[in-house]
Amino acid sequence: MFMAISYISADQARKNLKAEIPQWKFNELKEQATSIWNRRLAQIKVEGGTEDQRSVFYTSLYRYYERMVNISEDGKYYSAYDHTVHTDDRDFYTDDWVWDTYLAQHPLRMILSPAMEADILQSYVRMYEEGGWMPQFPILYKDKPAMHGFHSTIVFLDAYRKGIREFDIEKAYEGMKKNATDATMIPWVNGELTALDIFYRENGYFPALRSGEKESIGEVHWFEKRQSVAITLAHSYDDWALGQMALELNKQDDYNYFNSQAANYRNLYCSKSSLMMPKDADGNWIDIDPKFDGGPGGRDYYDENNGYTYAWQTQHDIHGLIKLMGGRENFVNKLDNLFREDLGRTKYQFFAKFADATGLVGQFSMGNEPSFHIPYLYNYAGAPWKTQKRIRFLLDAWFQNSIFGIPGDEDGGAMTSFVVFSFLGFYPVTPGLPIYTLGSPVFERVSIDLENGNIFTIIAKNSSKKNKYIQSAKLNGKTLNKVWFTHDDILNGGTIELVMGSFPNKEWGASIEAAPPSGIR
Amino acid sequence: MTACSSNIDNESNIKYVDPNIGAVGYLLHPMRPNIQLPNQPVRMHPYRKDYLDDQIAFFTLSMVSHREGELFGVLPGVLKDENDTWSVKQTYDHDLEILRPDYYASYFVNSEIRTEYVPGKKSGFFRFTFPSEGDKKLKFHVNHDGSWKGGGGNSIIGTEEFGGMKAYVYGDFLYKR
Repeated sequence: MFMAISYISADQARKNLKAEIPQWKFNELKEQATSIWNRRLAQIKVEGGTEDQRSVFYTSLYRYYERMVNISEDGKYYSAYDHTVHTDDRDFYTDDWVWDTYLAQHPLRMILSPAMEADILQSYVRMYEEGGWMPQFPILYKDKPAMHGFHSTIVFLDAYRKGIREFDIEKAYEGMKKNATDATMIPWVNGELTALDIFYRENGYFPALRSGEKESIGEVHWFEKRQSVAITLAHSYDDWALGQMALELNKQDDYNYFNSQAANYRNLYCSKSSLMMPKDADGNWIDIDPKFDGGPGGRDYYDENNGYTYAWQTQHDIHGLIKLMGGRENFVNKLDNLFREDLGRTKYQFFAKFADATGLVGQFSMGNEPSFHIPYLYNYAGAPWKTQKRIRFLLDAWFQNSIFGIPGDEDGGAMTSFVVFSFLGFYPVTPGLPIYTLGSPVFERVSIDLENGNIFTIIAKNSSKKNKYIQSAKLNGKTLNKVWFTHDDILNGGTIELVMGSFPNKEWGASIEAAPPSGIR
Repeated sequence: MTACSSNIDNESNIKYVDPNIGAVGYLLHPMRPNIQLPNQPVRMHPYRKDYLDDQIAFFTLSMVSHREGELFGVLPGVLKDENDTWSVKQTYDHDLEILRPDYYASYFVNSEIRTEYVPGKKSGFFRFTFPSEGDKKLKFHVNHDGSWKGGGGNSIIGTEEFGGMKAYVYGDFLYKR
């Protein structure tokens, strides 16, 4: 049986079939599919590592390719955003969850397939034009009102700064800004502003309810609740990205306003606990157990994860967070503690409430997206060797070549893109800044064939399970003392040469000048 | 585990891909072993709870979106007598299943049917090999409001309606003895 689908008509399905499978030749189609995959998977070449590590790596790369998906048929596509068939020479993509994918999947595509990423961003612009809102969870049949944040703003900024500009940036900006000014931030709700959004803009934080206090805002989702701390942190980042986009487009007034909003996360930093904590509408702290309170998934204050995870959700301003936490040494101690802090209860008690926070190491959860950047934060505070130690441990412990080899919901390429980056040995902690911070490359040599014809290479001499610590580094033959490099270093076909060893070099990358920059200066 | 070697053939990295990695969730969703082309909507997988399930309910023709449910399905079976319930679910052998991004094969141990599949972009190609005995059947699924009808000749047309839109599938058949 050979078959084809269409979202346009049965007749178009028949045409799609004839176009793709003109003859009954199973083996030819198989060879074609094999060669398409091998071409994609050979874009990143590796040497070294074990068979198991290569299996986890290339399987992660395959997972990254699950989506977004191209639903153009013969130069036409069906848009669920206005329920109309459109003619467009450009490929139209859908199926994305930006809350998950802005972190690693979009950034990986910006390296491997920048032309496709441009088509994807133009698809977002199309959806905005057709539906009236810039989407966050565009699936085949609608923009699902899932999770929270306007993180597609971050994707646009990230792409723009990485030189991907083949999309209508002015129209995109209009849509991003409309989200920030006209759309509600309430989780799992799409729609107009509510009293909570007006409160946020006036007071700089999303207010939480006190224990036992009844919900007075009708728009709040009965199960998803206010997620007040998570919302404040997410929108601080989104507004930062919008401000930066405004700066790129010379919109000075917008830059001034949204950039000021980027610091809102500071309003919820509680120095007593060194965590991000909820405040009520009167500005008083609400005293909670940040390990466990907030109902299912901590949703009264956080989202799917507890206060220990949300303490680190300021990717746009890591140095600001270090300052809040009392400096580099305290910051490193608090990070260490995250991986060691006891649950304070049995696992079955914990998971009955926090089922999404799997892959635990102390209070750290490898099984959910908000944690991806956390192991890399030591790089910002003078202890890159601890990032190298942690990330390799986490990859070994939670991403094995087994039917149990994914610690939580993988989310259609979101988590495996983190795995791909981490195996390669670098990570985009702050999407929106065109830089990457170094981890610990698993393979001895990696090369990436770029669309522009250049080849980016990472050599990690002697890398093995034991030899995970960076002893010294060079970029294009010159000593590299920083723990980061730029997207241009990749595009220019740069070569990073690391010498790896079994014992940490605690000096390398430890100076203040070596740390990656924050989005806020 | 073997030690590293420097002569890795990166031109056929597909051999390292195992869609069963993560095919059982600890608490949450399992990885679906999608057979598909990169960034293309037709994602076929054997529909079952997860890897630990020894029965396949049907082969999906596609999916709405990631974790948004399946679109259409087909299940081969053999009708041995009038009371035969072949169409419910089919028991497969884990070790006779081949899962790759570009090719799928499995064997139903009770009905002795072999299924093979290769993915296209908006298309897919199934090959079912039946035992010589029994009445050979294909059962077609819809997962939302929808239906199947004949499309003329050996063809079949399926429609599903969900979320205010429709998906269509056109299938054609060739029988070989």
